[in-house]
Amino acid sequence: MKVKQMIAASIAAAALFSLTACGGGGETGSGSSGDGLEVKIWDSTQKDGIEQICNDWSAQSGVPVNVEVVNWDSYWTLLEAGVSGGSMPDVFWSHSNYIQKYMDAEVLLPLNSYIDADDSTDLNNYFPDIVDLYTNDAGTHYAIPKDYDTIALFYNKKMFDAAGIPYPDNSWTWEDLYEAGKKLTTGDGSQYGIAMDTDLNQEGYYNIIYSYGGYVLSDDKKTSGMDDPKTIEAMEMWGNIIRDCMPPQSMLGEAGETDLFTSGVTAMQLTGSWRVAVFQTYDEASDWAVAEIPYCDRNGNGQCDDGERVSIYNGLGWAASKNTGNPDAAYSLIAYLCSREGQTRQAELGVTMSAYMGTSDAWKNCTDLWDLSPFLDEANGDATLVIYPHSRSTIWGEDMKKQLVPAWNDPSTMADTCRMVAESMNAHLAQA
Amino acid sequence: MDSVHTRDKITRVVIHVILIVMSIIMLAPFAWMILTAFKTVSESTSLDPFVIFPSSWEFDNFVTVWKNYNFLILYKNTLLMIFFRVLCAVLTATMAGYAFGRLNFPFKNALFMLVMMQMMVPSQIFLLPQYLMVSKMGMLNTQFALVFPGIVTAFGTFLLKTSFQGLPKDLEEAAGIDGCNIGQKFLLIMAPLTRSGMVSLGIFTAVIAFKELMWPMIACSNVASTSLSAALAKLQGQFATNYPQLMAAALMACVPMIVIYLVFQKQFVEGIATSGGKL
Amino acid sequence: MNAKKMTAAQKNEAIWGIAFVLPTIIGLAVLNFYPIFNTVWLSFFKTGDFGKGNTFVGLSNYAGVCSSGEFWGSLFNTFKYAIVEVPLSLAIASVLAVFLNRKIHFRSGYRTIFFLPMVAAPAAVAMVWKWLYNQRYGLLNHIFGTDIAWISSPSTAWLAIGIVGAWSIIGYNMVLFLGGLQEIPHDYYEAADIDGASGIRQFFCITIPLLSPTIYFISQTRIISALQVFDLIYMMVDSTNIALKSVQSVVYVFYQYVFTYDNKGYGSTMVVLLLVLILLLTVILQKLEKKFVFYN
Repeated sequence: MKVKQMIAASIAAAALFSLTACGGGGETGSGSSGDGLEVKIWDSTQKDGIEQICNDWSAQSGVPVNVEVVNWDSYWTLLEAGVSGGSMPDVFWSHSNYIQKYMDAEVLLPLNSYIDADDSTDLNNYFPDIVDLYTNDAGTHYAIPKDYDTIALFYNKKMFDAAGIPYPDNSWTWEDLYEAGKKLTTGDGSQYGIAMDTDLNQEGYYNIIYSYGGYVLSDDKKTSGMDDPKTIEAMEMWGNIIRDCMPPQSMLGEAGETDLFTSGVTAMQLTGSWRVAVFQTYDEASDWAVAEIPYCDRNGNGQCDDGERVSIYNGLGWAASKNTGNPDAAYSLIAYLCSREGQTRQAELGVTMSAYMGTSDAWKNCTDLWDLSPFLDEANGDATLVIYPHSRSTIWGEDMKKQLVPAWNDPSTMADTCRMVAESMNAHLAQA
Repeated sequence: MDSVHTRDKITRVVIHVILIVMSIIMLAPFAWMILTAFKTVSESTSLDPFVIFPSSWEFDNFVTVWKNYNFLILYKNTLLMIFFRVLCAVLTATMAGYAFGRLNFPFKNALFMLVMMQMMVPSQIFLLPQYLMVSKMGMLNTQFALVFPGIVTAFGTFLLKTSFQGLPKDLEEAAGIDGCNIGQKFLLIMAPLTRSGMVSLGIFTAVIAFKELMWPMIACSNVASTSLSAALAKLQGQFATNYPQLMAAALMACVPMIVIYLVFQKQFVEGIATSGGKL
Repeated sequence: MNAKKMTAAQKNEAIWGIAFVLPTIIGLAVLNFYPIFNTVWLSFFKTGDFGKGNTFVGLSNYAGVCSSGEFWGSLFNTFKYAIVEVPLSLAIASVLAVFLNRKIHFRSGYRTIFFLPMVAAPAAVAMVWKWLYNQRYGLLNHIFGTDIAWISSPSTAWLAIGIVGAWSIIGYNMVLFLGGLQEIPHDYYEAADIDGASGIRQFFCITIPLLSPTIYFISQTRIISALQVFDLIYMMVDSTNIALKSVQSVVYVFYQYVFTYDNKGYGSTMVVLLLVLILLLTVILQKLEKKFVFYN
């Protein structure tokens, strides 16, 4: 009994102690408290780099900055809570999936007057598609582009050597990827060509759809392109890759694509440039190399023509809260992060490729493990960059990831599944 | 007589065998959690040969998880949540239980019906409005948000009412003669007598609060302000397939409650048994 | 009760009574009763972003939910889960309770072990079972020498998750059964012993009938809480799992709509329908009680 009483007493004491120590409960809410700036991002691999650039700005401005990382899912719940609960971070990332909603609710700091008054910021320096993402129909800018990303093919040299297959290069079409993937798949469950689950749309099937001349979402964002014959042609090709080059869906779901690639179970992986920072940290990294994303030889002339190689791209923006306690400082920080200097630093530090055109070359040199030029060459004319399909409602994208799962399980149903996806996507788009 | 004796012996052996097999089934997942938590990733995913024991018992996974997710804060959040919920629940339920069990007042039966009705309703129906309320108050991601839905308890009121009703009638009358008012009677005589009911409710509330997943996940989406359970869900999102680290985190989340349970097991089992089926 | 006719002492008692129940009643009103109406209210709206600009849509959410395969599918899945979890956990728990009701060695040790999963966080339980079930690296496939995608195949996932649910709750049910068993008078068994009835016969002829009120009570509460299953499914089945469609429960789908898709009106509709269903079921189960339960 003695022991129990002591434990009970110490639990109560600990509870009381921590209660008094934090004055009524640990309120860890965010918000523009004091004179410092609260910065929120969702990618922990970028934190160190972003923090360094913010510190440079703090040294000039004298305003302290606190950078915090919250993972993707929580990030948006947190921001949403901030909007309805009244305390948002001062400066934060924005994404094409969510920006419409935030712009419409007018909870972000409009940047036009600041940009107009600031000679050093010129939005013409950035990728126009990305500027557009963060501009509403009335022409109000709510964020300045932070970065952009492209998709390239990572491959495992050792596995290609062992199978006696030449490495992927710029001449690869999707058929070449299929043929190589098939040879690299041993059939006994120990090795596969490639693994791309349904939730990897930007890195996976969106690319092949556009390179076959199909589309996911019409330009007016009102109709789905998933039942377009060219989209279906592309997805059936993708279905062949799933059938002959990928692990079964059950294994994909349990293992995770990047883990399969990094542990040498799969030989190839279509990879967004934002993953480069993480990939560097693996012991096996020196076995890998990068090639441009395959193309589709639509006119059959044996070479890659305009529009045949597509990389989906997207870019984040730096936005500020409308209710920030210090809007001038918030804008000043954003302007610095997006200035030629800040963007060059971002590339040099290997954080990501930068949205300020012409500042990303330094990114290539952030590692000597691999030649990263395919990622940049795609942006410099080797590929057509298509902005990540997005609309005000994000549900259709999430729905599509789920609805495609049966087709991953049984690729022969791909065409029907795509038509079904189109139907429900159109219903979602009509509602929004 | 002798054959009855041997039959009895055989029965005993069979029963023990069954109980031991069941014990293994109940314990194996915990054992596997511990073993995996000490392995490296490559040990945990080695197929040939299959590794059961880690090659060395090192705490790397625990350190990594502890660094990534500040477990000290998670322990504090969870402890405070349990502390306040138990305090509020026991306090309000004892008062209300006493009134419903021993006093007469207008609308007593109607009000008690309300209490009983709450127990029949699936709790998910409260979730969204509770979230919206906390959100309007600007209290998401705070300690208050974690405690909020557990401030009062219909079930506890019911439980304590039964306890008070079980006490002998003449107690109050004796106290009434001594010139106590109802408040003093409650505080000095009646409430201490239902201590075991209060302990049951306390343990029950603590276990429920500790196990709750959906509420802390939505009301406290910030890792620094959430409870252990919800942090585990987030962790799974981040470490995806790094099972040694996931198991280390799961172990760290479970051990405090398991230790408390092992020390207070009699109170736990009895407390939860007397509090009936509503878990 | 008329206030005018009350004596001073009665009045005094009434004031204390009201004062004592007031915190609980106010709390229940704010935390539970207002939310019920609020949820029902929301189910008639298409909710706007950030809780602003809700538009009244009448019954169209109900029409949408009732005509969607997703809702009925999830309801079917929820029942599938209950059909595995409830009978399995009840059967095992009752046998264990009967064993532990005897005077045997290490009795409290066994009880401690069986009850252990009850104090583990469901999130942790789900994680370790997900790992045990892992097709490639999981312990189960290694022990049995099989290659089954336990939780990633629509044909096994519901069973696998139901087993985890049963595993978690066996100890709890067992303790409740033990409580019921202790109320059975000992002379019944003594009489049976004299008649030479075997243990198994005693179990079916004495224990089960006399325990039937407890069995019925536990089954009823277990069924209703099994219909609210969420944690295990949320933790064990990823969104790209091929089995998701055949295991997602009503509460899981509700959570998805409300907190992931931000379609709060539609999600509220689902949970209102779940409420109606559970209330209906409660009434039916209470009616059936008289038929199945043996009262002394």
